[in-house]
Amino acid sequence: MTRVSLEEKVLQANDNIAQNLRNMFTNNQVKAINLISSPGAGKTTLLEQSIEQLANQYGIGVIEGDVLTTRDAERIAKLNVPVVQIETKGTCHLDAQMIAKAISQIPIDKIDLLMIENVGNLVCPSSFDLGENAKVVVLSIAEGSDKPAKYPQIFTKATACVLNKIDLLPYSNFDIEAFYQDIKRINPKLKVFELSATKGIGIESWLNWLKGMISNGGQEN
Amino acid sequence: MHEIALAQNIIVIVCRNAEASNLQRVTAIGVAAGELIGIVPDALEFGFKVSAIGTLAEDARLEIRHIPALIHCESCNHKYFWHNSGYHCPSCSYNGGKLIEGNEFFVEYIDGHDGEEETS
Repeated sequence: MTRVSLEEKVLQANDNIAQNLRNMFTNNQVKAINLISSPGAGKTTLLEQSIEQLANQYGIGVIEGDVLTTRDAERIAKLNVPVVQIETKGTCHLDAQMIAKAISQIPIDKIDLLMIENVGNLVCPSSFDLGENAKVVVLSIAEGSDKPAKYPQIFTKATACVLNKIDLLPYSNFDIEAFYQDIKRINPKLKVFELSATKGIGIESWLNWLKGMISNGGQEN
Repeated sequence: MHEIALAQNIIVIVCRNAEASNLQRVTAIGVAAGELIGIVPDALEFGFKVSAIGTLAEDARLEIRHIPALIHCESCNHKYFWHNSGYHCPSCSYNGGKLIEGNEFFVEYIDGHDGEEETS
């Protein structure tokens, strides 16, 4: 028997493409955000709100990831920003190759911010680098306060967390103290934005964070 | 089920390295997987079995070495497991240590037979 010893990263191919994307974003002075959440946490509504508030000051491009349908891209297209829909046809996450293919349809030299909405899934997308500056995890009140403890990988890797549907807090058993205790333990550096994307509550500090990201270096990943 | 995608990546790496080393058949593959990669070993093995059909690695056993996530406390120098404590140091209660192990995911060895052994 022969043993071949090596140390080759399983995701090296993905990471190489992600690094090329990162270079491309840097060269074009584009900041990229990778939005990750369970299905139905409100990523698309958060995007709509953010675009409506920021599109008069900044160029924004969007890549939408879903297993099927172009419904999200149709929603975003109504806001008159460049958008590409990736239909993964079953794959539970976006990878760097998919972004590399989709990015050719975005006028990268005309945008300041690229928002990538990952496939709704709190597990798999956390493993794949897309060349983004920051991963943002979106959690909605209705999902329960125990999610960071149950799905810690994404909360560990994220730079920021949007705690969405905060208007539902009085009607749910979401334990906000337990949530912050878990976050403090899992990722004490995580920035948390409590907001309601549909009601527009608390959206200001989120927008300010995005603006800060766009205007400074923002190399947080 | 991103394990299938990961298994396919493993097979590409294994076949390229096995061919370069003139292995005719691969019998075992060692993979090191950090805790924060979040793979499910059973799902990875299943994805591997399905994806390896028709390749040099078809009959290979996947040997997964789990690497627990380890945190280094920047305040008191203590090292502790993330699984139990997250980033909260059990020794001095400092929040926000540094991850020193647990994000790895790589192929570390390939066992196999080369052509000469095959005939013996």
